[in-house]
Amino acid sequence: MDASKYNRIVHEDGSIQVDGDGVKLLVMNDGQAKAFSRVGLRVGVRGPESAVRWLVGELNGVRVYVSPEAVILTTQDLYP
Amino acid sequence: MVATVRVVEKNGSSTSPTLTQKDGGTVRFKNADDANVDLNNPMVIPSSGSDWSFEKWLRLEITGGTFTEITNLKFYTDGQNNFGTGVNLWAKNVATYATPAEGTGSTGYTDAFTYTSSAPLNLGAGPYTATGEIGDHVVMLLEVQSSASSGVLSGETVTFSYDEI
Repeated sequence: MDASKYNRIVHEDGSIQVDGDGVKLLVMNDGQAKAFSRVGLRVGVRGPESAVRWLVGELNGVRVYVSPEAVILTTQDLYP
Repeated sequence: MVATVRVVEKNGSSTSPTLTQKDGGTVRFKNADDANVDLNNPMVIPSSGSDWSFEKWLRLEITGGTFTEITNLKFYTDGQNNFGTGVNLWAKNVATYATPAEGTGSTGYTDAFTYTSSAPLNLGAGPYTATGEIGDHVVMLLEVQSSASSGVLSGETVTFSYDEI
């Protein structure tokens, strides 16, 4: 998604919302919760593909990665 | 609400280097210390042994924006050397900048293509909360051996990654 578009909000109930480029990811306050974005800056690539931002949510060690192409649910540490 | 972060190539003196943005651009390995993407000071194919490029010093820099913190700095490649026979890319992380010198060997370096998204090079955990350069430098060297083919090589892509909240 567009790397320049990103917001992060912690709600009063403890849930964390991250959103960017029209996609919203809400991590409920049901355990050990995190939400952040992961950015990849590429050298050797021109244009919009030179910067990519994923939204990342984590709940009790399980992560969801949201990219423009896919939603991945895993316990792995993935990089764009 | 987003940090403005770029990858810079550093050239020149250790006390006042020149910074050139390189994400979305090209790093040209050559036999000179500059960030110009041109055909000057090209690498040469030696009759024996290796020709070593000048070091390329790359680093992440926060230039502005609104953010809480940046963490988890990484560097990686796609894991495949497509430069062709006789051309190697070496990399290491270094905390303190020094004036780029011409390489003399791979001692202290690792094959850059062993750093992948599954096994990236760590550049710093952070957190980084202010503008300025952050984390370790990535120092790279290109080695051209006598078995290499002549001409401008097809490009490779490297990635710098960070987490932002």
